[in-house]
Amino acid sequence: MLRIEHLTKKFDQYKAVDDLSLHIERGEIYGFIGHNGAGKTTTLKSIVGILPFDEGNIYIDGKSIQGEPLECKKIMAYIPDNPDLYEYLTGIQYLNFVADVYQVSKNDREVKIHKYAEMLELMDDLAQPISAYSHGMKQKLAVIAAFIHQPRLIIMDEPFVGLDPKASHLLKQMMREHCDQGGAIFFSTHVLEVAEKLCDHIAIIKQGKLVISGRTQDVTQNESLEDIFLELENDNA
Amino acid sequence: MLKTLIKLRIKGIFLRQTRGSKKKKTSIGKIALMAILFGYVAIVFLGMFGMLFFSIVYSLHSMHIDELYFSLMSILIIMFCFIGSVFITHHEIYEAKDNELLLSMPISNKDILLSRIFTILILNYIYELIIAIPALFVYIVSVGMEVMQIILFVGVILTLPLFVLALSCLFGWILAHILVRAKMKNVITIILYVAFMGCYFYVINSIEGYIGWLLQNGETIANAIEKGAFPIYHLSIAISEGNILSFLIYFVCAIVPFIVVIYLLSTNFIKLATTKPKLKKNVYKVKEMKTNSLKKALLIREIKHFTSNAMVMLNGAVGIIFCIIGTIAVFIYGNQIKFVIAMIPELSGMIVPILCLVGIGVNSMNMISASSISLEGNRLWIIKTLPIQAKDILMIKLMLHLLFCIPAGLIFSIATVIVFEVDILNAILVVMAPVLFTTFIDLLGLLLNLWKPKFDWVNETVCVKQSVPSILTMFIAMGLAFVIGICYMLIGNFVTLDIYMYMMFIVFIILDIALYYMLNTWGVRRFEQL
Repeated sequence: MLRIEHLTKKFDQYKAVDDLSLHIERGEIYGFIGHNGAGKTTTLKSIVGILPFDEGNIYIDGKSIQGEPLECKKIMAYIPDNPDLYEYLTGIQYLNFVADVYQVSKNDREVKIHKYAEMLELMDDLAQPISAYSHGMKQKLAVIAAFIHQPRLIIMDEPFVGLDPKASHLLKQMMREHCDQGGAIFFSTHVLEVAEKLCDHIAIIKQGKLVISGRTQDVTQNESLEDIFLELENDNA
Repeated sequence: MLKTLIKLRIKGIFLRQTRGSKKKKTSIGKIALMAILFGYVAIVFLGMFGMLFFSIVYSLHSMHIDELYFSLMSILIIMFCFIGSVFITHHEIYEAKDNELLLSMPISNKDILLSRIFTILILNYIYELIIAIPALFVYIVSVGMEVMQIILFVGVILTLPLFVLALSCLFGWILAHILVRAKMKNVITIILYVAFMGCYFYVINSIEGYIGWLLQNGETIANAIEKGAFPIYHLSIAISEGNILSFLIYFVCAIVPFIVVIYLLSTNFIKLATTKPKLKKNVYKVKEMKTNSLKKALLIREIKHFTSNAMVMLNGAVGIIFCIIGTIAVFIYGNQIKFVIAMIPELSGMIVPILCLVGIGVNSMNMISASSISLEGNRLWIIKTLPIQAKDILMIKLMLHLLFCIPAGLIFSIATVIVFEVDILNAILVVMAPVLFTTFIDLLGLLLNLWKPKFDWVNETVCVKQSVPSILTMFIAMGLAFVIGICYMLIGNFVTLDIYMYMMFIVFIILDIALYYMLNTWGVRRFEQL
């Protein structure tokens, strides 16, 4: 579903991502872990087409993000770490805008918006301007917008930040359901317990380089992910 | 701590004018550009007020009512500072975004408040000097001043902005209360802004008449000020006669409102800074949803964005307001203008080019597209990650400018065509000239914004008002009108005015096509790199 091959992204002379390769299959929840400034967000932004990159290639369902960006974006969704949304729109106007861009039919969008808004307890607030939303509400709206067109691949940057425990729990359920239906999710997180429990695969990045990746059980073996992460941090220091 | 806060706020004001989009050092070129801009504005205003004071100083002095000269100066200062700072006061004190952050730090409320007040005071002093310097210069050159008079003049200059500040704080407080509860904030802000602007232009246009009236009724007005505007009377007497007692009376009148306002603000600052009004919540009601095409969805998004902020509308499309005012004025004063033109035979053959130029001039004040890329701000990720072609995004931004500006421009042009009874062929020229020019400004602004986008603005008003693309678009638009005039002077002997006008038409059509091509090639690539 997502193939990253030798990705390198430089900011002037500084290599934010250095020769990173990953392969994510359908049905997988793939966790991306690393300390602040390790290159997680840069990688995710390169995948979704926000940042151009210097070397390597990224394929979404076999299509290159550089060669066929529109085709890739049609089957993908992105939830950023900080949900800066159009504050001048109401929640429902924003969701309709996203649905219009993806050309989601009237019936489909009604069903999806109402289902997810009810689930995340945002239904009553959809008529409110986004400027009146809290951080958590904006995050919920970004989640609904990401699921509205049934994407095959969802890229999430710290998706649980700002969500209340119930919404976090529901989002984890939504992620699992999405992958069970053949989709794939690649997301970054600092919450190692969540990554350990939720992810089928895990990749750890440090100073732009992939340190380790594989099935969660294989990466952790009999230790906790926290111990492995700290060990790797110290080993390569 | 107060010193640090003041330093930060002053730095913020200057960086706002010169800083680029990336964390690079401010370039010398940008500083020079801003210096030229501010220098130009300062010279225009200093010259304007200098001429005003020259036109009255001898008459008032010969009538022995010199105090009226200083009364007029102080009234102008109060008006100028008030109009210039009232919206900033509202923003700095009642709507500052960093209030909560600063209140959470170990900084006293008094220091936070004083740092804000000091910033507004600096702006007021700048506004004041634009009037006070020419007033002082003209009086010294024409009449002369003694040392005591100059000392008291300086005393007045130092204290008068304190009174204005009290006034603008009070008005800002009223404004904040109106806007917080108002449903149609944008409409109220636009009405207030247009009313302020209307007053300003009315005063500027009527100033000649007022000076005549002032000189004819000088003594009566002086008496009225003595009775009605007690502090201004004493201020004027203090300077014109070097009267210390009058200065002290004025000083008390100026300083007491300031102290009262500062006391009230400091005791209520936390409440003012942190209270959020209880707004009625709109509960979402399930209803049938509508679907739109991609382009229509993008256009709706652009329209909703543009109309969501009154200051963005006013600063980006002030030409539309002038088109509406112009249309009304043409119908009301049409006969008078025609009469004036009939008196000057040289003008009668130039009606069509003049109407074209007026149309172009009014439409050159619209710069919606020049900030439309920057206004995406930290939400640029949305359109970058959605499956939308860069070309579609740019074309819709282009369309927004045309959609708002062309109808207003057309109404104005058609009004001039009707009132000045222009024949059909020339009518097409009068109507088409602003259309071609609006398209040119639209394309130019968008390309300049693609070249120099700035996504880390403090607020949208600053982005529209003070960004490099907006300023450049404005200067190029103004410069073009000048170039068109100069070119005619140079080749006027070889071509008739009509032929020159047709040539300009062709030049603008070529320019529009060239810029459109550039937008579709370089512009699209540039947007994809952002």
